[in-house]
Amino acid sequence: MRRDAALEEASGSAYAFTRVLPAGDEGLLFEFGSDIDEATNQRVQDFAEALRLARIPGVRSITPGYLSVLVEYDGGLRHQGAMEQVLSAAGAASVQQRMARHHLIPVCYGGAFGPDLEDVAVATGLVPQEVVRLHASQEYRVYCLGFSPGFPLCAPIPAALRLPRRSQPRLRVPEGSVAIAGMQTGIYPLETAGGWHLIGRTPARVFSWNDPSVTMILPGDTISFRPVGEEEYLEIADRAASAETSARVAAGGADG
Amino acid sequence: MARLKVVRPGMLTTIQDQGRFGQGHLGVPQQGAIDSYALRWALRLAGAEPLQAALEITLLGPTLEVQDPCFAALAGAEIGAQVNGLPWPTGRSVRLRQGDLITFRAPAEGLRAYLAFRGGVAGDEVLGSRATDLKSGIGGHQGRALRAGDVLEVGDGGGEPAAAPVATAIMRDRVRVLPGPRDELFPEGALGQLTSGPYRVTPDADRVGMRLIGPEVVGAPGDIPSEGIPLGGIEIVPSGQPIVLLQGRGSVGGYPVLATVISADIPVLAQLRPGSSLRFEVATRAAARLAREEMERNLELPLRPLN
Repeated sequence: MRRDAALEEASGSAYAFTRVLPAGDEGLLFEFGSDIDEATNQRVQDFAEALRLARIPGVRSITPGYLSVLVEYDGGLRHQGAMEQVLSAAGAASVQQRMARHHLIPVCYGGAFGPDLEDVAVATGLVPQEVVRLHASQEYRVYCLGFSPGFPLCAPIPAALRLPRRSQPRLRVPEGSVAIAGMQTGIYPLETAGGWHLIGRTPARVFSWNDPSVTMILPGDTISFRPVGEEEYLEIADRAASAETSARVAAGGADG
Repeated sequence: MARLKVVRPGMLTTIQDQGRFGQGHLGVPQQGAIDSYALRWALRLAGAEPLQAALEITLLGPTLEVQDPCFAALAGAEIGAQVNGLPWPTGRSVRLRQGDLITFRAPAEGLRAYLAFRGGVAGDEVLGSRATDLKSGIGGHQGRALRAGDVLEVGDGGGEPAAAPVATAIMRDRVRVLPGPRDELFPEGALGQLTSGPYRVTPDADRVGMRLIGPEVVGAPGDIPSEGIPLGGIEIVPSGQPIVLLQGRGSVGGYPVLATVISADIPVLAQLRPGSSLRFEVATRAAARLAREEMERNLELPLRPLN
Protein backbone atom coordinates (compact mmCIF):
# COMPACT_ATOMS: atom_id res chain seq x y z
CA MET A 1 0.00 0.00 0.00
CA ARG A 2 1.45 3.35 -0.98
CA ARG A 3 1.70 6.13 1.49
CA ASP A 4 -0.71 8.54 -0.25
CA ALA A 5 -3.40 5.87 -0.19
CA ALA A 6 -2.84 5.47 3.52
CA LEU A 7 -3.25 9.19 4.06
CA GLU A 8 -6.44 9.20 2.08
CA GLU A 9 -7.79 6.49 4.34
CA ALA A 10 -6.95 8.48 7.42
CA SER A 11 -9.44 11.16 6.55
CA GLY A 12 -11.92 9.15 4.53
CA SER A 13 -14.11 6.13 4.72
CA ALA A 14 -13.15 2.83 6.25
CA TYR A 15 -15.32 1.04 3.71
CA ALA A 16 -12.51 -0.80 2.02
CA PHE A 17 -12.69 -4.48 2.84
CA THR A 18 -11.82 -6.69 -0.06
CA ARG A 19 -14.19 -9.53 0.81
CA VAL A 20 -16.33 -11.12 3.48
CA LEU A 21 -15.86 -14.72 4.60
CA PRO A 22 -18.53 -16.51 6.62
CA ALA A 23 -17.28 -17.80 9.98
CA GLY A 24 -20.04 -20.21 10.95
CA ASP A 25 -23.60 -18.88 11.15
CA GLU A 26 -22.79 -16.32 13.86
CA GLY A 27 -19.67 -14.75 12.43
CA LEU A 28 -18.38 -12.77 9.46
CA LEU A 29 -14.72 -12.18 8.71
CA PHE A 30 -14.10 -8.93 6.83
CA GLU A 31 -10.78 -9.16 5.06
CA PHE A 32 -8.81 -6.07 4.04
CA GLY A 33 -5.80 -7.51 2.25
CA SER A 34 -3.31 -10.33 2.19
CA ASP A 35 -0.03 -8.58 3.02
CA ILE A 36 0.86 -7.34 6.47
CA ASP A 37 1.41 -3.60 6.30
CA GLU A 38 0.45 -0.55 8.30
CA ALA A 39 -2.04 0.87 5.82
CA THR A 40 -4.02 -2.37 5.59
CA ASN A 41 -4.02 -2.72 9.35
CA GLN A 42 -5.14 0.89 9.75
CA ARG A 43 -8.19 0.17 7.60
CA VAL A 44 -8.83 -2.89 9.76
CA GLN A 45 -8.73 -0.74 12.90
CA ASP A 46 -10.89 2.02 11.38
CA PHE A 47 -13.53 -0.46 10.27
CA ALA A 48 -13.57 -2.09 13.71
CA GLU A 49 -13.87 1.35 15.34
CA ALA A 50 -16.76 2.34 13.06
CA LEU A 51 -18.60 -0.86 13.96
CA ARG A 52 -17.98 -0.36 17.69
CA LEU A 53 -19.35 3.16 17.52
CA ALA A 54 -22.44 1.96 15.61
CA ARG A 55 -23.48 -0.22 18.58
CA ILE A 56 -25.47 -2.63 16.44
CA PRO A 57 -27.96 -4.73 18.41
CA GLY A 58 -27.01 -8.40 18.44
CA VAL A 59 -23.33 -7.79 17.76
CA ARG A 60 -21.32 -9.60 20.42
CA SER A 61 -17.74 -8.94 19.56
CA ILE A 62 -15.61 -7.08 17.06
CA THR A 63 -12.11 -8.51 16.87
CA PRO A 64 -9.51 -6.88 14.65
CA GLY A 65 -6.54 -9.00 13.60
CA TYR A 66 -3.60 -8.22 11.32
CA LEU A 67 -5.61 -8.23 8.09
CA SER A 68 -9.23 -8.74 9.03
CA VAL A 69 -12.05 -7.98 11.43
CA LEU A 70 -14.09 -10.85 12.88
CA VAL A 71 -17.61 -9.81 13.84
CA GLU A 72 -19.58 -12.22 15.99
CA TYR A 73 -23.29 -11.74 16.57
CA ASP A 74 -26.33 -13.46 17.99
CA GLY A 75 -27.56 -15.61 15.11
CA GLY A 76 -30.88 -16.04 16.88
CA LEU A 77 -31.57 -12.34 16.41
CA ARG A 78 -30.59 -11.67 12.84
CA HIS A 79 -29.49 -14.04 10.10
CA GLN A 80 -26.22 -13.82 8.24
CA GLY A 81 -27.37 -12.07 5.08
CA ALA A 82 -29.15 -9.32 6.98
CA MET A 83 -26.24 -8.92 9.38
CA GLU A 84 -23.75 -8.60 6.55
CA GLN A 85 -25.74 -5.73 5.06
CA VAL A 86 -26.05 -3.90 8.36
CA LEU A 87 -22.35 -4.33 9.14
CA SER A 88 -21.19 -3.26 5.70
CA ALA A 89 -23.27 -0.11 5.93
CA ALA A 90 -22.12 0.69 9.46
CA GLY A 91 -18.48 0.03 8.59
CA ALA A 92 -18.71 2.54 5.76
CA ALA A 93 -19.08 5.43 8.19
CA SER A 94 -15.95 7.51 8.36
CA VAL A 95 -14.42 7.61 11.79
CA GLN A 96 -12.28 10.06 13.61
CA GLN A 97 -9.05 8.17 13.99
CA ARG A 98 -7.97 7.67 17.57
CA MET A 99 -4.70 9.46 18.25
CA ALA A 100 -2.09 6.73 18.25
CA ARG A 101 0.29 6.71 21.21
CA HIS A 102 3.90 5.72 21.47
CA HIS A 103 4.97 3.51 24.37
CA LEU A 104 8.59 3.31 25.45
CA ILE A 105 8.87 0.04 27.33
CA PRO A 106 11.78 -0.46 29.74
CA VAL A 107 13.13 -4.01 29.47
CA CYS A 108 15.67 -5.90 31.51
CA TYR A 109 17.06 -8.37 28.99
CA GLY A 110 18.53 -11.82 29.68
CA GLY A 111 19.30 -13.61 32.93
CA ALA A 112 16.31 -14.68 34.97
CA PHE A 113 14.20 -12.03 33.22
CA GLY A 114 14.92 -13.35 29.73
CA PRO A 115 15.65 -17.06 30.11
CA ASP A 116 15.67 -17.69 26.34
CA LEU A 117 18.08 -14.90 25.36
CA GLU A 118 21.07 -17.27 25.21
CA ASP A 119 19.15 -19.83 23.14
CA VAL A 120 17.95 -17.12 20.77
CA ALA A 121 21.55 -15.96 20.38
CA VAL A 122 22.69 -19.49 19.55
CA ALA A 123 19.83 -20.11 17.13
CA THR A 124 20.33 -16.81 15.31
CA GLY A 125 24.13 -16.99 15.35
CA LEU A 126 24.36 -13.64 17.13
CA VAL A 127 25.83 -12.71 20.47
CA PRO A 128 23.20 -11.90 23.14
CA GLN A 129 24.18 -8.20 23.16
CA GLU A 130 23.45 -8.03 19.45
CA VAL A 131 20.04 -9.70 19.90
CA VAL A 132 19.21 -7.02 22.49
CA ARG A 133 20.57 -4.22 20.33
CA LEU A 134 18.51 -5.34 17.32
CA HIS A 135 15.33 -5.85 19.34
CA ALA A 136 15.63 -2.42 20.95
CA SER A 137 16.77 -0.68 17.78
CA GLN A 138 13.44 0.05 16.16
CA GLU A 139 9.85 1.06 16.61
CA TYR A 140 7.08 -1.51 16.20
CA ARG A 141 3.45 -1.13 15.30
CA VAL A 142 0.84 -2.78 17.52
CA TYR A 143 -1.19 -4.68 14.92
CA CYS A 144 -3.74 -6.19 17.26
CA LEU A 145 -4.27 -7.49 20.79
CA GLY A 146 -4.79 -11.13 21.56
CA PHE A 147 -3.65 -14.48 22.99
CA SER A 148 -4.42 -13.13 26.41
CA PRO A 149 -6.10 -9.90 27.51
CA GLY A 150 -4.05 -6.89 26.47
CA PHE A 151 -1.25 -8.85 24.77
CA PRO A 152 0.10 -6.50 22.07
CA LEU A 153 1.08 -8.28 18.86
CA CYS A 154 3.83 -6.09 17.42
CA ALA A 155 5.73 -6.43 14.16
CA PRO A 156 7.89 -6.72 12.17
CA ILE A 157 11.06 -7.61 14.08
CA PRO A 158 14.47 -7.52 12.34
CA ALA A 159 14.86 -10.47 9.97
CA ALA A 160 17.94 -11.70 11.84
CA LEU A 161 15.83 -12.36 14.96
CA ARG A 162 13.03 -14.41 13.41
CA LEU A 163 12.67 -17.90 14.86
CA PRO A 164 9.78 -20.36 14.97
CA ARG A 165 7.95 -20.65 18.29
CA ARG A 166 9.44 -22.91 20.96
CA SER A 167 8.67 -26.57 20.32
CA GLN A 168 7.61 -26.95 23.96
CA PRO A 169 5.40 -24.07 25.13
CA ARG A 170 5.80 -23.06 28.77
CA LEU A 171 2.85 -23.56 31.08
CA ARG A 172 3.70 -20.39 32.98
CA VAL A 173 5.22 -17.30 31.48
CA PRO A 174 5.70 -14.53 34.07
CA GLU A 175 3.75 -11.29 33.76
CA GLY A 176 5.68 -8.63 31.87
CA SER A 177 7.78 -11.06 29.84
CA VAL A 178 8.99 -9.57 26.56
CA ALA A 179 9.13 -12.20 23.86
CA ILE A 180 9.65 -12.86 20.17
CA ALA A 181 8.30 -15.44 17.70
CA GLY A 182 8.38 -15.38 13.92
CA MET A 183 8.11 -11.78 12.77
CA GLN A 184 6.38 -10.70 15.99
CA THR A 185 7.32 -9.36 19.38
CA GLY A 186 5.02 -8.84 22.32
CA ILE A 187 4.57 -8.49 26.06
CA TYR A 188 2.77 -11.02 28.27
CA PRO A 189 0.46 -8.77 30.33
CA LEU A 190 -0.57 -11.58 32.68
CA GLU A 191 0.99 -14.82 33.80
CA THR A 192 -0.21 -17.32 31.19
CA ALA A 193 1.04 -20.26 29.17
CA GLY A 194 3.10 -19.29 26.13
CA GLY A 195 5.32 -20.60 23.37
CA TRP A 196 7.35 -17.50 22.50
CA HIS A 197 11.03 -16.95 23.25
CA LEU A 198 11.40 -14.91 26.44
CA ILE A 199 14.24 -12.44 26.01
CA GLY A 200 13.46 -9.98 28.78
CA ARG A 201 10.89 -8.58 31.16
CA THR A 202 9.33 -5.17 31.72
CA PRO A 203 8.29 -3.78 35.09
CA ALA A 204 5.69 -1.62 33.32
CA ARG A 205 2.05 -2.58 33.73
CA VAL A 206 0.56 -3.04 30.28
CA PHE A 207 -2.97 -4.10 31.18
CA SER A 208 -5.51 -3.21 33.82
CA TRP A 209 -8.95 -4.78 34.19
CA ASN A 210 -10.36 -1.59 35.68
CA ASP A 211 -10.44 0.50 32.56
CA PRO A 212 -8.44 -1.30 29.90
CA SER A 213 -9.32 0.87 26.92
CA VAL A 214 -7.95 3.94 28.69
CA THR A 215 -4.89 2.45 30.26
CA MET A 216 -3.48 0.00 27.83
CA ILE A 217 -1.52 -0.29 24.64
CA LEU A 218 -4.04 -0.33 21.79
CA PRO A 219 -3.92 -1.45 18.16
CA GLY A 220 -2.41 1.26 15.98
CA ASP A 221 -0.07 2.43 18.75
CA THR A 222 3.68 2.10 18.45
CA ILE A 223 6.12 0.51 20.86
CA SER A 224 9.84 0.65 21.33
CA PHE A 225 12.01 -1.03 23.93
CA ARG A 226 14.63 0.56 26.17
CA PRO A 227 17.18 -1.76 27.77
CA VAL A 228 17.53 -1.22 31.53
CA GLY A 229 19.66 -2.91 34.17
CA GLU A 230 18.29 -4.94 37.03
CA GLU A 231 18.63 -2.03 39.44
CA GLU A 232 16.53 0.29 37.30
CA TYR A 233 14.04 -2.52 36.67
CA LEU A 234 13.46 -2.89 40.40
CA GLU A 235 13.28 0.87 40.89
CA ILE A 236 10.60 1.18 38.20
CA ALA A 237 8.73 -1.83 39.59
CA ASP A 238 8.70 -0.15 43.02
CA ARG A 239 7.42 3.10 41.60
CA ALA A 240 4.76 1.27 39.57
CA ALA A 241 3.62 -0.56 42.68
CA SER A 242 3.33 2.65 44.69
CA ALA A 243 1.42 4.34 41.88
CA GLU A 244 -0.90 1.36 41.56
CA THR A 245 -3.87 3.59 40.87
CA SER A 246 -2.48 4.69 37.54
CA ALA A 247 -2.02 1.45 35.70
CA ARG A 248 -0.87 3.43 32.72
CA VAL A 249 2.42 2.34 31.20
CA ALA A 250 3.90 5.50 32.63
CA ALA A 251 6.65 3.78 34.54
CA GLY A 252 9.29 3.86 31.85
CA GLY A 253 8.10 7.05 30.30
CA ALA A 254 5.35 6.16 27.87
CA ASP A 255 4.99 9.58 26.39
CA GLY A 256 1.31 9.24 25.46
CA MET B 1 -29.92 -12.78 49.04
CA ALA B 2 -29.79 -16.43 50.01
CA ARG B 3 -26.54 -18.15 50.93
CA LEU B 4 -25.21 -21.36 49.48
CA LYS B 5 -22.28 -23.08 51.13
CA VAL B 6 -19.87 -25.17 49.09
CA VAL B 7 -19.22 -28.34 51.09
CA ARG B 8 -17.32 -30.05 48.27
CA PRO B 9 -16.48 -28.21 45.05
CA GLY B 10 -16.86 -31.03 42.53
CA MET B 11 -14.46 -31.41 39.62
CA LEU B 12 -14.83 -27.94 38.12
CA THR B 13 -17.67 -25.70 39.17
CA THR B 14 -17.59 -22.07 38.03
CA ILE B 15 -19.92 -19.10 37.83
CA GLN B 16 -20.82 -18.40 34.19
CA ASP B 17 -23.25 -16.27 32.25
CA GLN B 18 -23.75 -15.78 28.50
CA GLY B 19 -20.24 -14.37 28.16
CA ARG B 20 -18.01 -11.34 28.25
CA PHE B 21 -18.91 -9.78 24.94
CA GLY B 22 -17.67 -6.67 23.19
CA GLN B 23 -14.02 -6.90 24.29
CA GLY B 24 -12.45 -8.71 21.35
CA HIS B 25 -10.42 -5.66 20.34
CA LEU B 26 -8.76 -5.72 23.77
CA GLY B 27 -7.86 -9.38 23.47
CA VAL B 28 -10.30 -10.33 26.22
CA PRO B 29 -11.76 -13.82 25.73
CA GLN B 30 -15.52 -14.37 25.50
CA GLN B 31 -15.88 -17.03 28.24
CA GLY B 32 -19.41 -17.78 29.51
CA ALA B 33 -21.35 -21.05 29.59
CA ILE B 34 -20.05 -23.67 27.16
CA ASP B 35 -23.60 -25.02 26.76
CA SER B 36 -25.52 -21.79 26.40
CA TYR B 37 -28.67 -23.72 25.48
CA ALA B 38 -28.66 -25.53 28.82
CA LEU B 39 -27.79 -22.29 30.63
CA ARG B 40 -30.75 -20.56 29.02
CA TRP B 41 -33.06 -23.39 30.10
CA ALA B 42 -31.73 -23.29 33.65
CA LEU B 43 -32.25 -19.54 33.87
CA ARG B 44 -35.73 -19.73 32.40
CA LEU B 45 -36.83 -22.61 34.63
CA ALA B 46 -35.52 -20.74 37.67
CA GLY B 47 -37.32 -17.56 36.65
CA ALA B 48 -34.00 -15.72 36.40
CA GLU B 49 -33.13 -13.02 33.88
CA PRO B 50 -31.40 -14.09 30.65
CA LEU B 51 -28.20 -12.22 31.45
CA GLN B 52 -27.88 -13.44 35.03
CA ALA B 53 -25.23 -15.95 36.05
CA ALA B 54 -25.54 -19.59 37.09
CA LEU B 55 -23.20 -22.36 38.19
CA GLU B 56 -21.58 -24.41 35.46
CA ILE B 57 -21.00 -27.93 36.76
CA THR B 58 -18.55 -30.22 34.99
CA LEU B 59 -18.90 -34.01 35.19
CA LEU B 60 -18.65 -34.46 38.96
CA GLY B 61 -20.91 -32.05 40.75
CA PRO B 62 -20.37 -30.22 44.03
CA THR B 63 -22.02 -30.73 47.39
CA LEU B 64 -23.93 -27.60 48.33
CA GLU B 65 -25.65 -26.68 51.57
CA VAL B 66 -28.63 -24.37 51.23
CA GLN B 67 -28.51 -21.81 54.06
CA ASP B 68 -31.60 -19.77 53.18
CA PRO B 69 -34.78 -20.57 51.21
CA CYS B 70 -34.47 -20.11 47.47
CA PHE B 71 -35.80 -21.35 44.14
CA ALA B 72 -33.44 -23.21 41.79
CA ALA B 73 -33.40 -25.06 38.48
CA LEU B 74 -31.10 -27.57 36.90
CA ALA B 75 -30.58 -28.05 33.15
CA GLY B 76 -28.12 -29.77 30.86
CA ALA B 77 -26.56 -33.18 31.41
CA GLU B 78 -28.22 -35.66 33.78
CA ILE B 79 -25.52 -35.69 36.43
CA GLY B 80 -27.38 -37.44 39.23
CA ALA B 81 -28.51 -34.46 41.28
CA GLN B 82 -30.23 -35.13 44.60
CA VAL B 83 -31.78 -32.94 47.27
CA ASN B 84 -31.46 -34.61 50.66
CA GLY B 85 -30.96 -37.92 48.88
CA LEU B 86 -34.05 -37.62 46.65
CA PRO B 87 -33.51 -37.45 42.88
CA TRP B 88 -33.66 -34.04 41.21
CA PRO B 89 -33.90 -34.75 37.48
CA THR B 90 -32.33 -32.28 35.10
CA GLY B 91 -34.70 -29.87 33.37
CA ARG B 92 -36.67 -29.09 36.52
CA SER B 93 -36.97 -26.35 39.09
CA VAL B 94 -37.44 -26.91 42.82
CA ARG B 95 -37.99 -24.91 46.00
CA LEU B 96 -35.09 -25.26 48.38
CA ARG B 97 -35.31 -24.86 52.14
CA GLN B 98 -32.75 -23.91 54.72
CA GLY B 99 -30.57 -26.93 55.49
CA ASP B 100 -31.22 -28.77 52.22
CA LEU B 101 -28.19 -30.63 50.90
CA ILE B 102 -27.63 -30.75 47.13
CA THR B 103 -25.41 -33.59 45.97
CA PHE B 104 -24.51 -35.10 42.61
CA ARG B 105 -23.72 -38.68 41.77
CA ALA B 106 -21.74 -39.63 38.68
CA PRO B 107 -23.38 -38.46 35.48
CA ALA B 108 -25.29 -40.92 33.33
CA GLU B 109 -24.49 -39.11 30.12
CA GLY B 110 -23.07 -35.78 29.06
CA LEU B 111 -20.56 -33.45 30.65
CA ARG B 112 -22.02 -30.13 31.76
CA ALA B 113 -25.04 -29.02 33.77
CA TYR B 114 -26.22 -25.61 34.98
CA LEU B 115 -27.68 -24.71 38.33
CA ALA B 116 -29.58 -21.42 38.27
CA PHE B 117 -31.45 -19.49 40.94
CA ARG B 118 -34.31 -17.05 40.81
CA GLY B 119 -32.49 -13.74 41.17
CA GLY B 120 -29.24 -15.14 39.76
CA VAL B 121 -25.88 -15.92 41.33
CA ALA B 122 -23.79 -13.04 42.63
CA GLY B 123 -20.22 -12.79 41.39
CA ASP B 124 -17.50 -10.36 40.41
CA GLU B 125 -18.60 -8.37 37.38
CA VAL B 126 -15.69 -7.54 35.08
CA LEU B 127 -16.19 -5.67 31.80
CA GLY B 128 -19.92 -6.30 31.89
CA SER B 129 -19.95 -10.02 32.69
CA ARG B 130 -19.80 -12.31 35.73
CA ALA B 131 -18.31 -15.16 33.69
CA THR B 132 -15.29 -16.76 35.36
CA ASP B 133 -12.12 -16.53 33.28
CA LEU B 134 -9.90 -19.17 34.87
CA LYS B 135 -6.84 -18.25 32.80
CA SER B 136 -6.96 -14.56 33.68
CA GLY B 137 -8.27 -15.17 37.18
CA ILE B 138 -11.17 -12.72 36.94
CA GLY B 139 -14.97 -12.75 37.16
CA GLY B 140 -17.27 -15.17 38.97
CA HIS B 141 -16.13 -16.16 42.45
CA GLN B 142 -12.73 -14.51 42.89
CA GLY B 143 -11.76 -15.48 39.36
CA ARG B 144 -11.51 -19.17 40.16
CA ALA B 145 -13.38 -22.45 40.40
CA LEU B 146 -15.38 -23.01 43.57
CA ARG B 147 -13.61 -24.47 46.61
CA ALA B 148 -14.83 -26.14 49.75
CA GLY B 149 -15.87 -23.52 52.27
CA ASP B 150 -16.90 -20.88 49.74
CA VAL B 151 -20.23 -19.21 50.50
CA LEU B 152 -22.09 -17.96 47.44
CA GLU B 153 -24.90 -15.46 47.36
CA VAL B 154 -27.84 -16.36 45.19
CA GLY B 155 -31.28 -14.85 44.65
CA ASP B 156 -33.91 -15.60 47.28
CA GLY B 157 -37.02 -15.33 45.09
CA GLY B 158 -39.70 -18.02 45.16
CA GLY B 159 -41.50 -19.81 42.34
CA GLU B 160 -43.66 -22.69 41.19
CA PRO B 161 -41.75 -25.87 40.29
CA ALA B 162 -41.92 -26.75 36.60
CA ALA B 163 -40.21 -28.94 34.03
CA ALA B 164 -38.82 -28.19 30.59
CA PRO B 165 -41.01 -29.65 27.82
CA VAL B 166 -37.95 -30.88 25.88
CA ALA B 167 -34.50 -32.21 26.78
CA THR B 168 -32.26 -29.40 28.02
CA ALA B 169 -29.06 -31.06 26.81
CA ILE B 170 -28.53 -32.15 23.23
CA MET B 171 -26.78 -35.51 23.08
CA ARG B 172 -25.57 -36.47 19.64
CA ASP B 173 -22.39 -37.67 18.00
CA ARG B 174 -22.88 -35.71 14.80
CA VAL B 175 -21.89 -32.07 14.57
CA ARG B 176 -22.68 -29.86 11.60
CA VAL B 177 -20.14 -27.41 10.23
CA LEU B 178 -20.02 -24.63 7.67
CA PRO B 179 -16.86 -24.38 5.57
CA GLY B 180 -14.48 -21.55 6.38
CA PRO B 181 -13.52 -18.91 7.01
CA ARG B 182 -10.13 -20.24 5.82
CA ASP B 183 -11.09 -23.38 3.87
CA GLU B 184 -9.59 -22.00 0.68
CA LEU B 185 -6.10 -22.03 2.23
CA PHE B 186 -6.32 -25.83 2.42
CA PRO B 187 -5.83 -28.25 -0.44
CA GLU B 188 -8.99 -29.47 -2.10
CA GLY B 189 -10.28 -32.47 -0.21
CA ALA B 190 -9.49 -31.11 3.26
CA LEU B 191 -13.17 -30.82 4.15
CA GLY B 192 -13.69 -34.32 2.80
CA GLN B 193 -10.99 -35.59 5.17
CA LEU B 194 -12.55 -33.75 8.11
CA THR B 195 -15.90 -35.38 7.41
CA SER B 196 -14.52 -38.78 6.41
CA GLY B 197 -14.68 -40.59 9.70
CA PRO B 198 -15.11 -40.39 13.45
CA TYR B 199 -12.89 -38.31 15.71
CA ARG B 200 -12.32 -39.01 19.36
CA VAL B 201 -12.25 -36.30 22.02
CA THR B 202 -8.85 -36.48 23.70
CA PRO B 203 -8.29 -35.73 27.41
CA ASP B 204 -6.89 -32.39 26.20
CA ALA B 205 -10.34 -30.84 26.29
CA ASP B 206 -11.40 -27.93 28.46
CA ARG B 207 -13.26 -24.62 28.31
CA VAL B 208 -10.78 -23.31 25.73
CA GLY B 209 -11.25 -26.09 23.24
CA MET B 210 -11.23 -29.77 22.42
CA ARG B 211 -8.28 -31.48 20.81
CA LEU B 212 -9.52 -34.32 18.62
CA ILE B 213 -7.83 -37.35 17.14
CA GLY B 214 -8.95 -39.03 13.94
CA PRO B 215 -8.58 -38.68 10.17
CA GLU B 216 -5.62 -36.47 9.33
CA VAL B 217 -6.29 -33.32 7.35
CA VAL B 218 -3.38 -33.25 4.95
CA GLY B 219 -1.62 -30.11 3.82
CA ALA B 220 -2.65 -27.67 6.55
CA PRO B 221 -1.03 -24.37 5.64
CA GLY B 222 0.54 -23.75 9.08
CA ASP B 223 0.67 -20.26 10.61
CA ILE B 224 -1.31 -17.36 9.21
CA PRO B 225 -1.31 -13.75 10.43
CA SER B 226 -3.29 -13.73 13.69
CA GLU B 227 -7.00 -13.12 13.25
CA GLY B 228 -10.22 -13.42 15.21
CA ILE B 229 -11.27 -17.03 15.85
CA PRO B 230 -15.01 -17.73 15.85
CA LEU B 231 -16.79 -19.84 18.45
CA GLY B 232 -16.76 -23.43 17.16
CA GLY B 233 -13.88 -22.70 14.81
CA ILE B 234 -11.99 -25.85 13.83
CA GLU B 235 -8.28 -25.12 13.66
CA ILE B 236 -5.98 -27.60 12.00
CA VAL B 237 -2.62 -27.76 13.77
CA PRO B 238 0.51 -28.73 11.82
CA SER B 239 0.10 -32.43 12.74
CA GLY B 240 -3.15 -32.40 10.70
CA GLN B 241 -5.39 -32.93 13.73
CA PRO B 242 -8.28 -30.58 14.57
CA ILE B 243 -8.91 -28.46 17.63
CA VAL B 244 -12.44 -27.12 18.11
CA LEU B 245 -12.38 -23.77 19.89
CA LEU B 246 -14.92 -23.00 22.59
CA GLN B 247 -15.94 -20.00 24.71
CA GLY B 248 -12.66 -19.86 26.66
CA ARG B 249 -10.53 -19.49 23.52
CA GLY B 250 -8.17 -16.59 22.98
CA SER B 251 -9.71 -13.83 20.89
CA VAL B 252 -7.19 -14.27 18.06
CA GLY B 253 -5.19 -17.21 16.79
CA GLY B 254 -2.68 -18.05 14.12
CA TYR B 255 -3.85 -21.43 12.85
CA PRO B 256 -6.27 -21.37 9.91
CA VAL B 257 -9.89 -22.29 10.63
CA LEU B 258 -11.02 -24.89 8.10
CA ALA B 259 -14.66 -25.00 9.18
CA THR B 260 -16.91 -23.68 11.93
CA VAL B 261 -19.46 -25.64 13.95
CA ILE B 262 -22.96 -24.19 13.51
CA SER B 263 -24.36 -22.35 16.50
CA ALA B 264 -27.15 -24.87 17.07
CA ASP B 265 -24.55 -27.64 17.53
CA ILE B 266 -22.18 -25.91 19.98
CA PRO B 267 -24.31 -27.38 22.81
CA VAL B 268 -23.63 -30.82 21.33
CA LEU B 269 -19.88 -30.25 21.69
CA ALA B 270 -20.41 -28.97 25.23
CA GLN B 271 -21.72 -32.37 26.31
CA LEU B 272 -19.00 -34.56 24.75
CA ARG B 273 -16.66 -36.08 27.31
CA PRO B 274 -13.07 -37.02 26.60
CA GLY B 275 -13.18 -40.42 24.93
CA SER B 276 -16.47 -39.76 23.12
CA SER B 277 -16.57 -40.03 19.40
CA LEU B 278 -18.02 -37.51 16.97
CA ARG B 279 -18.37 -36.98 13.25
CA PHE B 280 -18.46 -33.74 11.32
CA GLU B 281 -21.00 -33.15 8.56
CA VAL B 282 -21.04 -30.21 6.18
CA ALA B 283 -24.29 -28.25 6.43
CA THR B 284 -25.74 -25.56 4.22
CA ARG B 285 -26.28 -22.02 5.47
CA ALA B 286 -30.02 -22.61 5.15
CA ALA B 287 -29.82 -25.74 7.31
CA ALA B 288 -27.78 -23.88 9.93
CA ARG B 289 -30.38 -21.14 10.04
CA LEU B 290 -33.27 -23.60 10.34
CA ALA B 291 -31.50 -25.49 13.13
CA ARG B 292 -30.94 -22.26 15.02
CA GLU B 293 -34.55 -21.15 14.55
CA GLU B 294 -35.76 -24.51 15.87
CA MET B 295 -33.53 -24.10 18.91
CA GLU B 296 -34.92 -20.62 19.61
CA ARG B 297 -38.50 -21.95 19.23
CA ASN B 298 -37.80 -24.79 21.67
CA LEU B 299 -36.60 -22.30 24.22
CA GLU B 300 -39.97 -20.57 24.08
CA LEU B 301 -42.15 -23.65 24.54
CA PRO B 302 -44.39 -23.45 27.62
CA LEU B 303 -43.05 -25.05 30.79
CA ARG B 304 -44.84 -28.06 32.29
CA PRO B 305 -46.04 -27.25 35.80
CA LEU B 306 -45.20 -29.90 38.41
CA ASN B 307 -48.02 -30.78 40.82
